[in-house]
Amino acid sequence: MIELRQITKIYNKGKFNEVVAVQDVSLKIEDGKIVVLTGPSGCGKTTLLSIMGLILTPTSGEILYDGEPVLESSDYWKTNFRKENFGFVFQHINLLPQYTALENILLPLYAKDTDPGDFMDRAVELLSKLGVIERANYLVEQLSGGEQQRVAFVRALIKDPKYLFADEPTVFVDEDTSRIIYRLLQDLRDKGKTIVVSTHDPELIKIADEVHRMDRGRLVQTK
Amino acid sequence: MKKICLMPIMAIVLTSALMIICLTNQTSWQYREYYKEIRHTIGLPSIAIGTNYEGTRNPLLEVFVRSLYDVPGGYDYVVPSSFIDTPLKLREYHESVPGFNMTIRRG
Amino acid sequence: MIKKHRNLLRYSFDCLSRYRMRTAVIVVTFLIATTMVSAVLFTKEGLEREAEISVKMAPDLTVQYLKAGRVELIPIDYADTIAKVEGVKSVVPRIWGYAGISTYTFTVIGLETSSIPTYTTFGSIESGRFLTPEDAGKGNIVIGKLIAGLLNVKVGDDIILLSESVEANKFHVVGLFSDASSIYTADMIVMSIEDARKFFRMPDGYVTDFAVYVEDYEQPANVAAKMSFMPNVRILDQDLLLRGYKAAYGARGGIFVTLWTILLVGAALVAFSQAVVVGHESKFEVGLLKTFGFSTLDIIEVRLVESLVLGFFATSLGMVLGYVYAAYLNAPGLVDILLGWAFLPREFRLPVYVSWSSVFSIYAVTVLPLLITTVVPAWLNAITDPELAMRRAAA
Repeated sequence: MIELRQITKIYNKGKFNEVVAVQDVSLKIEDGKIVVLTGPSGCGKTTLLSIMGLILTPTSGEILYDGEPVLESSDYWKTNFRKENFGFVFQHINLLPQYTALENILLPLYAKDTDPGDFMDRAVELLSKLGVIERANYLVEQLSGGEQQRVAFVRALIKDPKYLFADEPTVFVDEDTSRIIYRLLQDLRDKGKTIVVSTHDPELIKIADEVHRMDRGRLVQTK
Repeated sequence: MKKICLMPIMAIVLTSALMIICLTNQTSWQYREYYKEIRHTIGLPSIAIGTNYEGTRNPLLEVFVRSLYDVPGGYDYVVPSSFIDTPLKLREYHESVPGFNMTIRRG
Repeated sequence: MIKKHRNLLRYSFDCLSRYRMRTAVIVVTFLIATTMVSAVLFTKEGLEREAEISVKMAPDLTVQYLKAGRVELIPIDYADTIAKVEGVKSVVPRIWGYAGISTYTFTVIGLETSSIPTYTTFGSIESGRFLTPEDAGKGNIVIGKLIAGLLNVKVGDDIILLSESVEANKFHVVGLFSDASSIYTADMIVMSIEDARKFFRMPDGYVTDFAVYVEDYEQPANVAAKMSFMPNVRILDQDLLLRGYKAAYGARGGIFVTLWTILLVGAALVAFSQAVVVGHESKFEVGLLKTFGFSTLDIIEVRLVESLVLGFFATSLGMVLGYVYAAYLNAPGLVDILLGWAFLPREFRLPVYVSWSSVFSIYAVTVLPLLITTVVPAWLNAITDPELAMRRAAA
């Protein structure tokens, strides 16, 4: 379970260009659910997602994973926690352009004490599931936006993480691919994974267990 | 990422080669012997860099030749140094050649 | 943990080919700079070492005559006075100077043949023999390889040397110095003191200087001190000569300093391009890797290995090339600039000395800046929130 307590994030605090991205957000996310953060652009969805994913430190507040506060933990601990439990799908995809799709997918495994080659079957399975298996050995720059998005999904799932954080995962993909992604997210939920998605996609909102609407950094509505 | 990167292998090979060069070169210098009979008959011979380099015609360098004590070989040592710099500019030079002082000091 | 380090190593190596342009820039810059600097440094140190060895071949003391602060011919009578000084074993009078053949300058040395010790073997003579007391005033000479090659003469041939007063002097070659001793003897013409006096037209009763050898139990400096009563003499010991020569070949030599500066500027430029150009791309990558669970130490390890491989590859290759260029190719193009040699005999090789200190100092000015400019920004990015690092890189 993820619990956020009075999370606030202020960029450039005390400077003329101070921005309050997230303000006083408290939220509980049960395991095995699809949780959607929605709201207008710039409302703080991505920032909140990053804070939950421990890749951005909030200005104030507390985060608890399974009841344990984590913000005070060392950088090393947080890094390890991310390595073992998290998968990320970024809004800007963030694949390394000089690598092939498959190399990008195996990249997160390089930080683990394991042979990335052992995960080849899983990579192939996921790539097939998302319909990009024939692009496995293509360089990222040779892939379309939708294909890149699907490869980014496979990269996020290669370690079979407990938590998946996805920022606008269907923004670059066509309807067919979107449907594949919805089905994938539902499968993951059925396997007990927790998925937190930031999106405007109404179809994706439909499959969510919880929807939190944000506006100007605050949670304004929960369904 | 399965491509074999030659550079690390080459880095190790080249660094090892350099260490071997260094070691063998130093060993060869260590066992270098001077020629006793030359020392006892001729004294210091020149290091054989036969030259007629224009720079040595410089009167300033003639003085420098003398500063190198005017011994056989001194002339040749001056030739390379003449090109490098005007030695008189170098303060350290005065300090490193005892008995040769081109500056005037108050007594 | 072994598998993880293997993964990180593999990733580091892969970065080298991924940042192809940066790799090429660093390799080329370091290669040019280290090749030039190492060729000069190895040669410079070789010459210094050679000087050290040649000074060992100098007499214990060299006694010269000073008049108005300038070296002049010394009266031969001084030999008796010097010989009487306690601790002096022998005094060898010498007449020596320089002579020109074609456009080259050679060292002519006239020896008192009667005082030449009789050696059973004279190792530095390749063919013929060294001078004996019977050669006094007979025009017999022993010559170095350079002259022999230049004039195409061998033992038994005659050569004609022009003196300063443009007089033709005929000499008979009785011996040839060996290749092994050529660094000392290549440009040398050894003759009897009588012949040298005639050749240089020096007045009777005077010589150029005295080579003084002291008893084994005596310190040359102590014996020199005992000679201070003599007026107008300058006494040189081996240490003074060495210091003089080292001053001539000092590290302050303009060319060397220039090349050293080029290397430093090159390293600084590469470091700058690293920090500015690649730093941007690398910032994003570090953020991404941190997100995946690469720890700060993992990222430092990746960058450290990458820089070490790159630095050692380029610098070692540069130094090996520098060595080959100086030791085997005789530094074509550089040798004239470096040493001002007008002529280099084919058999003569540049003395090249590859010391640990030169090797490590070159590594220090190439590998260290590279390490600092790669590892420090990577570390700074790694301790930043990954999201911020990626956002800054994208900005």
